[in-house]
Amino acid sequence: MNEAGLPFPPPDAQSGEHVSDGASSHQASEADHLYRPHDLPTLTQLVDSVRTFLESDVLPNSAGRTRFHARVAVNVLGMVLRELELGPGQAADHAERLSSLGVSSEEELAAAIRSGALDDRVAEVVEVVRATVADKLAVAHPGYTEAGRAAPPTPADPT
Amino acid sequence: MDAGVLSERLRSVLAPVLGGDVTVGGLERLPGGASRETWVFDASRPGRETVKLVLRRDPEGAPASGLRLEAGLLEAAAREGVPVPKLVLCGDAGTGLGSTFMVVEHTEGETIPRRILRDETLAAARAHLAEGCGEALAAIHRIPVASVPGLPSGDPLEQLRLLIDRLGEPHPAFEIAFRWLEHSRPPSGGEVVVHGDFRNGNLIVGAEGIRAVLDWELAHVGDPLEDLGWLCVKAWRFGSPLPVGGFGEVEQLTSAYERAGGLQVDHAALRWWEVLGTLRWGVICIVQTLTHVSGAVRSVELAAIGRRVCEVEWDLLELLT
Repeated sequence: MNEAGLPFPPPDAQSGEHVSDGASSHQASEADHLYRPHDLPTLTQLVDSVRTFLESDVLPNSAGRTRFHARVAVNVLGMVLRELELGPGQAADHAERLSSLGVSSEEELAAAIRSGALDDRVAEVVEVVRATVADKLAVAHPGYTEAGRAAPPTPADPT
Repeated sequence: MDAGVLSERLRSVLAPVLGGDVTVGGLERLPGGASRETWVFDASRPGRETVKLVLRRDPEGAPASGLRLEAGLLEAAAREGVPVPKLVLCGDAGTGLGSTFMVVEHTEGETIPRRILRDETLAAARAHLAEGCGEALAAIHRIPVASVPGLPSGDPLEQLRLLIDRLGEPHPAFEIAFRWLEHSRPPSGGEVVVHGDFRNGNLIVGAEGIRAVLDWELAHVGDPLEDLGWLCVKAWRFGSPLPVGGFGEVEQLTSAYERAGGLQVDHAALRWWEVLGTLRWGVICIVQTLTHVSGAVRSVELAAIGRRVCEVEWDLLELLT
């Protein structure tokens, strides 16, 4: 108990509201997808725990359709983790690329390509679309864009 | 209708074909197929070898699908020498099984694409599978259109345009492909019976090659190169670098197709149909994932397929730029 009779340390012992004590091994911030007031684990850590469970407990102990779906689910959670990490930066890059072509959304860009309004800037359009698709693949299927060799298999391949 | 009742009804509809002393056993429903049921069972007769048969039928109460048309296609295809499951019987809801159905003989062999591409025991078959596809497609395209009345037709590019506009999920890469397809359309290769889904995954393969061509649900009247282009779409390579179904070269497919009586293949036209097929697969991915997103069918597999659309966008850019 302190002088005021409350179970808190004195104010000067606290460094601030956010958990940012460099000495802590559980350091987390918004970059790790911890949105206060929520507690640890971070979003990333939660998703990763489910992925690990599916991978090491469910997959080896399942068969047939369940096993196939468990493999798809592991893959999906991998996507979620990559999107958590890369998504915000990709969204900003995407908006910037779109504005370089004078449009503000995928819908507008699609409509402009369809109408021929961007026919005199084909090379630029292709470059923008390619960069956007490459970003989507970096989340959905890393390695797919590497030329000269077959892309790693996707568990969600149609059978 | 439970398996016991269905077994008894099957016995009575099969009796006129297989004989009154036929018995039905081991009836088992195969997983999957929300829109159509598939069952396997054994039909036995005293003193004769037991045969394994496959029943495909519409769910009871559902509107009749194209199963009768498919049964007619199987017979017409068999007459031209296409390897297909042998039709035993087909009937409509009034025949006794409660819905439209067909019964075919079971064909042993492998259908799972990755195994077809990797299984050691299929290595010899794999080396000539692209030729086998060329021969089977030439035979399919010989089926007289008039012998299968009721097949749909229409301009596939226009149909794809209407479909994607209805989905409300515009993609700039798809629009680049549409522009190219509209401006580079090859002359028509004629009007034939097109299988519509001829690919790795719809073939039963054995050590000697293709044993049966399955899934005739999407058959229609159209350009013969549509089938060849679809078989070359990257999604059916399952990670293999070989362009035809993951097991062969384009030259193997087209020269076998031509030798077997198919039309002379214009490679620029084939490429046009490959681009159209690739775009079509992209649209199908969106359609499938929307069945999950809308809540119609909940499935992690359908959810994941939506994130494959960007693979198709990449494939289109690689094909066109």
